[in-house]
Amino acid sequence: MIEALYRALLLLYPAEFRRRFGAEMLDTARALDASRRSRRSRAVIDALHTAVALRAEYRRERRFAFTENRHMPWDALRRDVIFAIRSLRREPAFALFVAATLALATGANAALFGIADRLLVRGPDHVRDAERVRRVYVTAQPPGMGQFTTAGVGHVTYDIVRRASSAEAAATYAINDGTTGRGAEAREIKIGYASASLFSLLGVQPAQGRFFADEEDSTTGARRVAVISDGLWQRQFGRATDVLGRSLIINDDPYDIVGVAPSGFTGAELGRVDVWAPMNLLSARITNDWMRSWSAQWLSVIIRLRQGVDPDAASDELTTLFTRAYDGDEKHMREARVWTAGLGAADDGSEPAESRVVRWLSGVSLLVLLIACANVMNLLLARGARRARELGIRRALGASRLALLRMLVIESTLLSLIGATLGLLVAHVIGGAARNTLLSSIEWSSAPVDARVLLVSLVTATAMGVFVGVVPAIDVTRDALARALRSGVRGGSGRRLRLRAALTVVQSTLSVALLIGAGLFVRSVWNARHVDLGFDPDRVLVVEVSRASLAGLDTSARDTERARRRLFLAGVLDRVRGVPGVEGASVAVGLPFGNRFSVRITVPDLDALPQTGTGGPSISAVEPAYFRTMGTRLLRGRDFNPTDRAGSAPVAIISEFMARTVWPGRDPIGRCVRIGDPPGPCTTIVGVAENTHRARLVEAPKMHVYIPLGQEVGFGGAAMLVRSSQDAESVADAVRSELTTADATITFVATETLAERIDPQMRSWELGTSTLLFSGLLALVVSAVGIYSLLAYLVADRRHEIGVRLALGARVDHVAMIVVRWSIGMSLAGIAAGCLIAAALGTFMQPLLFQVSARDPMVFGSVAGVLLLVALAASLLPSLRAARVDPLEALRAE
Amino acid sequence: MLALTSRPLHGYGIIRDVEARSDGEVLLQTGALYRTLRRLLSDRFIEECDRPADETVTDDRRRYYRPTRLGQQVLEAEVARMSRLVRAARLTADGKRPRLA
Repeated sequence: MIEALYRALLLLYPAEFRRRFGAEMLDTARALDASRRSRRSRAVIDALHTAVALRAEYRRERRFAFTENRHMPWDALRRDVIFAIRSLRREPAFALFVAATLALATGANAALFGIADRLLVRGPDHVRDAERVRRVYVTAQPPGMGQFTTAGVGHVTYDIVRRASSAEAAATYAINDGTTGRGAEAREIKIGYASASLFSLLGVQPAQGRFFADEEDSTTGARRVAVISDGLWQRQFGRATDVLGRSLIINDDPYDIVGVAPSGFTGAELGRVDVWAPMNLLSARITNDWMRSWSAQWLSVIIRLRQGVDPDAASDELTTLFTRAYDGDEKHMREARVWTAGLGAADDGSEPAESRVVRWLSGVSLLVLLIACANVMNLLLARGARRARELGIRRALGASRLALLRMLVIESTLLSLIGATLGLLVAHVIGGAARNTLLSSIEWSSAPVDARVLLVSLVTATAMGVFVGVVPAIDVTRDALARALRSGVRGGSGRRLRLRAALTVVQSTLSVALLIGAGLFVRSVWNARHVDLGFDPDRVLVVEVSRASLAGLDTSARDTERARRRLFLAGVLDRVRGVPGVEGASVAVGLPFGNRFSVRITVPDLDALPQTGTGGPSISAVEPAYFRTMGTRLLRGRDFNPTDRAGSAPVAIISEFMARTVWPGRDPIGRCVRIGDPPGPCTTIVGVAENTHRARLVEAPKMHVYIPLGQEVGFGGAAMLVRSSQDAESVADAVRSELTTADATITFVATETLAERIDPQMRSWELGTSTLLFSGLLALVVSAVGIYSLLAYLVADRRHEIGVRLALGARVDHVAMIVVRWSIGMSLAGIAAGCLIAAALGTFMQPLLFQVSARDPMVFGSVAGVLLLVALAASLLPSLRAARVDPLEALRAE
Repeated sequence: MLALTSRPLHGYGIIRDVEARSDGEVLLQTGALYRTLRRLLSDRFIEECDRPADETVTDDRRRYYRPTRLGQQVLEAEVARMSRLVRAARLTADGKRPRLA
């Protein structure tokens, strides 16, 4: 009985005390009770009295905790932290805002750090001694054209590089699209065809099984063996332990799975690769002489430099070997330079656009962090002023200035850590979104917030907390005692006001600079989206089919089947045109942003085509409805019609640029060109079409020739084009099922809009836009709050002065205007400085922009306007408050 | 404190000891006792110790306390101070002029 009662009474005790002594007390009370020496009522009264007394003792101790135990740092730290939490809970709005600001800023930073870490710092995973692994490039200058650099080389070049003594090892690979599975199960995959040396060169170990060996990659009979990626193992086999030895259908052929690559292995690049297969299997799919031809140039070659070999020396050796070995026809290739660059470089050996943008954005996110810091400092200064009394009293009660400083810095660090924790959530969301949308081509082996990001965030947050806490803390603890004793006099010294105004101006400056950057990127994206490509990218769907292999058929059956397949797409056009929502359909070989076929054109009466600086002519073979389907205008002459086909009189339609270049001022219609090498028969020009971009968003007009489908010689690979009345994606499913029902040998139908093919070229701008916009808006909100809080503080601080002015007859609107003027003044200073910074950085920014000047007056002007509006809005409430000051009350308060 | 000088005691042991020392006059209550113990512990005048070897009752929940060196010194000082005080009080009571300590 007494035990239950005592147990209940114990609940009234401070928890700490209960934990320490509870069990013992119960024990003692029981013994005391059993001995019957004490009355129960006395025990109960004693217990109640102790509870009250203890609570009072604990409260007292806590209140002075920060002055005690200076020689026991951990204990003191713990108390300081508890104290800081309690003090922050008293001003939840302040704590919440500061934490949210820091969360967004650190979150953006952490997300970008994660991206930059992968793109700029770490490179592909599982590469041992990555600094010695380099990609081989060839730089050459064809006559009459600009110098070009390419990472796409031929197998011949690989053979040359393999002999170089400066290379410890060499490997070659090509990453192609393919399919796995059959029929409805078919999926698109990325296949890495690689020489067996790739894995040992990179130094990667298989997670299971083995990589394939040299014998399995022989030129005479490569074996169908595959090493699957960790991702494919997960998706397709559910991590089955008996995956080795199983069969996998790749491009309709069965492959034996011999190994599983470690998670995150992507070869020497950053993109996803689902399956690795022997390089020589490709020969089955490519012309027979690809291994000896100088013109087949689609392999990537990497080498591992010998220890201590200088990359330049290696390049010299490679160039010498190449020059000596080259026996092709092109003179400029004999003078080509072969060199190497690190794995981070783009296809043309330069820094990739993504890396450049990410580098910029890392700078930007640091700026945002600075803005957030300035803001938090500003708010902490204001808070310090609000707490002047409290701090003064603490000082009077014996707390040292150091103790106060420590307390304030711990508060700010705590805030910063809370912010950083929330920031990790933000980073997870932003980072995840950026990866999925803007950088989806890259294989992200780790989560947006991994251990490295975590560590960096933690360190940044702590440093930031101390940094933003120290300055205000030093300021507010200065003369804390004296200030508190002079009650009634507000704490706003001129120095602190100047400091806060300066911080506010800095915030406005940075947000102006960021918003200008965002504005420039927004215009770039807009411009890029509205480039006249010569066709309608959004409404045209490109449909490509994969089919069952022809293995197993005899030669004649194979030829028949090949011929049937060649005609198939054109044959089902009418059925596709009947699909609801389809406005038109056509078939073409050689599409914009797809395969590009160069062609030699000879014109009677002309020794050679004029040099254009944009390369020689390219060619496509198209079905009659092509121009209508693409939305390409015919400027002169006629379209192809069904009578233009294989065997009929050869005709051609040429691009406007070609017409202007070859027959300036004259009508090209009816003239004759000869296509091919050796030149074919006289082909009559029947029309002129508007120029179309062939491969890039930024592209000078090119010479291009269209011929009727069926008249093409020496190139192939048809795709169907479907023009939809609304959204191209909406008809994709219907078209897909139409095709698969029409032909049972189709294993996979890939559909994508032309716009999607162009999108990768938009990514760097989109990445820039979204990040800059996010940071700019964040900075804007933060600086608006900064301005507001400073003005509110000023008005409160000068209540007395304002009261006096009003009493002396100042007009209310005049007083309100003073506040507005402060606000406008600060933001004008910010605008001026921000514009100057943006203009100064413009030179560096220009290469990242698209058809917009880095000093675009419209962007500068609108950002200035926005900031002024925001400054006005932020001054609204404080100015009203100033206007409502009651002179009597303000004076009485003294 | 005095109760603990001869040997380490646990909570109930202290109550009994104090009772015995005061001839049954003073009966400590549990709450008051532990409030005092906490005070003494946090001032580092006493500390927890192992159960004395001669203790017959073996109850694991019981915790034993003994004075620290500091506690011992403070106790001695306090005893000295009080005895001077008592002496002064006696002298006053005897009608002599107290010699204040």
